[in-house]
Amino acid sequence: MALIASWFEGLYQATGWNFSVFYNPWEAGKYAHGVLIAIQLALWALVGSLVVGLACVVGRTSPLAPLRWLVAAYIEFFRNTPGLAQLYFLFFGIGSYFGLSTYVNGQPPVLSPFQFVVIALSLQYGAFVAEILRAGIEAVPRTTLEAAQALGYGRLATLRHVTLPLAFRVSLPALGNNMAQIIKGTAMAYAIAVPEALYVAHEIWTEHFNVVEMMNVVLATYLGLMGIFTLFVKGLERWLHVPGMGR
Amino acid sequence: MSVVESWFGPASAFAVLLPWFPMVLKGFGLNLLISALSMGIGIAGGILLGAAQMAKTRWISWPARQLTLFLRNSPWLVIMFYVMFLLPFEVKVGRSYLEFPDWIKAVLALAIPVCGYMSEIVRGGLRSVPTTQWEAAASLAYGPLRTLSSIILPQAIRLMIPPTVNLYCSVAMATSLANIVGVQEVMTVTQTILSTETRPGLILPAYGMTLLLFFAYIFPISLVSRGLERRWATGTR
Repeated sequence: MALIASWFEGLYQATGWNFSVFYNPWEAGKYAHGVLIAIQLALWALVGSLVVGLACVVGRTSPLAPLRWLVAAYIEFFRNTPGLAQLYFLFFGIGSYFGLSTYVNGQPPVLSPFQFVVIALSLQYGAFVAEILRAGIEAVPRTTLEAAQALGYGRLATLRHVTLPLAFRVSLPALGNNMAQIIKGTAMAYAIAVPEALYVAHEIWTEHFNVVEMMNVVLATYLGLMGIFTLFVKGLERWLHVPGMGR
Repeated sequence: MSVVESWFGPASAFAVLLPWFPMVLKGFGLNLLISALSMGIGIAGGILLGAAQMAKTRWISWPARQLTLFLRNSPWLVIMFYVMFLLPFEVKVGRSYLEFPDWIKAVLALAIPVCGYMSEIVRGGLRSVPTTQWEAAASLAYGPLRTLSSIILPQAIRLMIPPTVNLYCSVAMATSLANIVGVQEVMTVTQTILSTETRPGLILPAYGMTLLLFFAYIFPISLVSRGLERRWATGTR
């Protein structure tokens, strides 16, 4: 660690490239915390979007027509409007209207900006997850369902043991893509001052005027996160692979 | 106060926002302009990059593949910051200074990731045409350009258009990111209105209006894309 720090300090003295996060311990800690916040945002939003997506799948098969329409309207609306506009609407609009994001009578806000971003990302990407899962369920061959029926599986048992496991595997690449979008989408939290990687980098470069260096650090951070995540999804796909299905 | 009056009366949010509407539309016009220009540049760059990915020599295809991955994996907002902070605000052409307004920077910033996505669409489209088609064309003595223009592209283009339309929807939505770096697009205009009117009750309807504006533009386009997908779906899967 000390070696890295002294190397980057030497680099600054020799070339003027000021990668302050690598030798200034206070800034290093701050940036590491920012990256941690970005990861936390992504993971919470992943869980949230899966929950929302599953709820939509269930809602779409409901016998109540108005509920089906409501779910369909929700999915279309959130898939076809910008995430940033949704975040502003939730944080500034809903948040201030219902006093969730502001101090009310000296009481601290009910929801932190961090939680607002998680909610916004979950709602936005949950709509995509709903579509992905639907496509996955539709991709399960009818013959497989008939075979399950012939073997005496009931409706719920078919869903649990046949349809969903297959649908999940079919959806996995698309779900992985969606998660990648969530990781990139966490940068949006910058807009409402959640101290994630981009925001912290902005704070650092306003202090040291090392914009170029910090931009490169931020980009490398995101590419690193995406790389780790891609490896994870590839491993998961291999682990869940069904012989004879797909390539 | 009746319901109608509270919603549409002289003191309602609707009545306050109505005079601002032309300004909002003008802001949204800038969004559309940015989206169209960056999509155009992105398509041109993406076709070149996609073709390079399909090159036979690894010396061309490997760098093109890595560049595509890099562009697809970078967050749009981070690229936006890059372009905004690293491009000069004016360029010297001869003796005069050519101004480089920030909305043009936004166009370039959005075009960069679009190149990556378009490259992947082009590659996917070309790869979806069976190899036997290339071989059949070769055995009929078609040259490489003729093969591409009259045999491969007519089949590939059907698979390329729906995702391209979807990509345009994403670009149109991403134009709102220009708000963070201060371009006078629709969200920035909305914020200006809100800070001018200083009425907390306006915040919800104003942002709701912006959302609806985006939805009214993007939803029909994504319906068209879905229609094309369904119509051109081939039974080869």
